[in-house]
Amino acid sequence: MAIAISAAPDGSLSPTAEAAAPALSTGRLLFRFGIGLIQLGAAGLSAILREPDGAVDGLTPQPGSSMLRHALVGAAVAAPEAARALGGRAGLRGAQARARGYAGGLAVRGVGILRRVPGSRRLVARLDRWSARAAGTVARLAVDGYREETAARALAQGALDRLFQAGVAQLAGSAEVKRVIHEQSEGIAGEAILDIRAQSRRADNAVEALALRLLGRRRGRHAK
Amino acid sequence: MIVATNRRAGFVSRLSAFILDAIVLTLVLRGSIWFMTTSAKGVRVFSHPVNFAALTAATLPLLVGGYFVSFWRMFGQTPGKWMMGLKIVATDGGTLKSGRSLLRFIGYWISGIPFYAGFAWILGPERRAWHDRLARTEVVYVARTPELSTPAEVAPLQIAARAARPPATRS
Repeated sequence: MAIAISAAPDGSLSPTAEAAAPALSTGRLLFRFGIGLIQLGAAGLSAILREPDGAVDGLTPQPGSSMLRHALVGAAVAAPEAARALGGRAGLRGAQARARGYAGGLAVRGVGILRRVPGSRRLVARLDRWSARAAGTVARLAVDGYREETAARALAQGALDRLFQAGVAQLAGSAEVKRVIHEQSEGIAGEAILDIRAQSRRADNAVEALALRLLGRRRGRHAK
Repeated sequence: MIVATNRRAGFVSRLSAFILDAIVLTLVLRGSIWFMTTSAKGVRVFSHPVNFAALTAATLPLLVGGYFVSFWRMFGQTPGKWMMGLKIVATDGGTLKSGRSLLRFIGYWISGIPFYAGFAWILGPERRAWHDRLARTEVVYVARTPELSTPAEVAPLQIAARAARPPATRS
């Protein structure tokens, strides 16, 4: 399935309508399917990971060999924040901003100097054309990529659904699976019946023993 | 293979089997009444309305008798007795014929009339109720024997059977 992509005035891309699907090679289909699988898998995994995994506050690690591992993991988690705080204390953020300002100023000045060089206007115009062409190429590639991802997601979703249905149908129609289920069910039912019978036979003896004791008679040969 | 043992069944097993049979009978009769009533509604324009519930109640002894007697005659056990692993056998070793099955069912009523006193005899050392004595039957446990299929399994039994057989006498 091919999906038409339209670019909005603000530059955003969106699928608008389905277009006629060109015939794709097997390799291309497999590639598209792989992309879709990665996307669906990543989305599913992300959804699972985002689910709340219960409260962890208040848990205290037990002393032992795992303490070192806990400490290492804790240090790894705390490292980015600590680095940011350290940078803030050392004034790195300001230095970074200043450096950016210097670099920008240098670039502007450099371009101004270059513009005064003879023949530079042509060069700049050519650079501008290349730049525009590159931007167009990137935009086209982005549109192609977006289209490919959307189609890949749809392809993978449909293929997975069909694969699942086929798997279920295969299992449902399999004589071997039916036989196993039948045997298991029979086994469970048979065991339950045998258990009930054994219990009732024990109860037979117990009730009979009680009745005969009350009557003051001896037990017969059928009681065991 | 299912075989009858020589151990008579006790009170709890037989009572449980009877309760199971009562449940089966109730379900079957109620289902039949529902089916007949629903069918009658469909053909009411062609026939006079019949109160199937009252009809079933009136013929209940016959229906119950038919259930027990036919199962005893055909299989030697009712569904309830099958579930509890019980079987009715004749004391003289023969199979349960129709006459003996009917006599046993009549014995049910005789056992039940004096406040079910006849059933209390199952608690005795002989484990036989009045209807068992009347019809000369006994209710025994059934046991499942292992299936013997391979020669290695069958051979020892054949040797034992030959050894147990009395020697042939020449006349």
